[in-house]
Amino acid sequence: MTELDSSREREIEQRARELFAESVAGLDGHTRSRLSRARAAAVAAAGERRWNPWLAPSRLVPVGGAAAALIALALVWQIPQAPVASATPVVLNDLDLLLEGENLDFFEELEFYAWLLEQPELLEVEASGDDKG
Amino acid sequence: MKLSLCIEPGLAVEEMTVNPTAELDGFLRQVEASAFRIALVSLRDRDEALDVVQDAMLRLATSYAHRPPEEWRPLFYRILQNRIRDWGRRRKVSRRILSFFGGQDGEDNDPIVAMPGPRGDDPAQAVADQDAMAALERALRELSAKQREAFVLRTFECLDVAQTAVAMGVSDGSVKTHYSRAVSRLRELLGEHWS
Repeated sequence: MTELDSSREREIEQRARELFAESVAGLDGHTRSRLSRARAAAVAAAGERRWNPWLAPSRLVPVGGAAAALIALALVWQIPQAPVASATPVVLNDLDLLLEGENLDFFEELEFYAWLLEQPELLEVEASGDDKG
Repeated sequence: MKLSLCIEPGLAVEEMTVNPTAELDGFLRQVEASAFRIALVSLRDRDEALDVVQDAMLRLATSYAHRPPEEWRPLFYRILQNRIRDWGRRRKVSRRILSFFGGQDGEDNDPIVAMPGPRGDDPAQAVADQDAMAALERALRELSAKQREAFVLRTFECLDVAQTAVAMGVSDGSVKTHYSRAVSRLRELLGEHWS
């Protein structure tokens, strides 16, 4: 490209810039008004996005409190569950043992065994029988 | 009237208030009119150009307002260029459908011609400027989309090569190539007497 070509191109750039700036400056009021309204809507949309009412402190405090309460409840639920879970079978096993039919018979005849111990002649007969056998 | 042709983006951001909403408002105020004119060059429909700019502003505000303000400019023009391309494609499809059914395509109503011309105290100069701008816009529409984007962003919006590359979604080298070809082609199209 020659020096002249380059100079002409710089001239075109400069003139284009001037004409464009003038045409922007000469925009009519109606167009400017519509652009202002569009700008206001965009800025409002950005503001709404920044200030999310669901994330406002006044809303976050009760939400945070509820979350803390839920966590506390979960902890209370979980911590005693481990020992209870292991103790429960033991308790059940003891109950099973206590409720076995044989042992209940023993407790029902407890008075008879006490009376028997108070009868010496019966004990002597039993002792002699043992010696013979 | 002496017009400020290029705003220094860095200075503009420093001058803005620290309030993020006011900062965004200031930025959009700075770019809205030129964004509209850029959209109008490609779309040639005032309402569509306004819709595209509104859409681009909303998208920037809702998706990128949290980004550093120095990134807004290339991001905004990238969104704008994408929207312009989308609208252009949609219009091509709708025109094909309309032409198939024998409808009007609206090409005769050129809003660029109907637009008020550049301001000026001298009516003769104002008319000359209006003609020159109309010729420039016709020439711009003859360029490829990438060449036009590179020229518009570099010349009208004064973006540097790196910012233009972000706005166009291409490499720095590609920006330089498209821009150089755009200027060269404009010189051919506008002729030696355009000024």
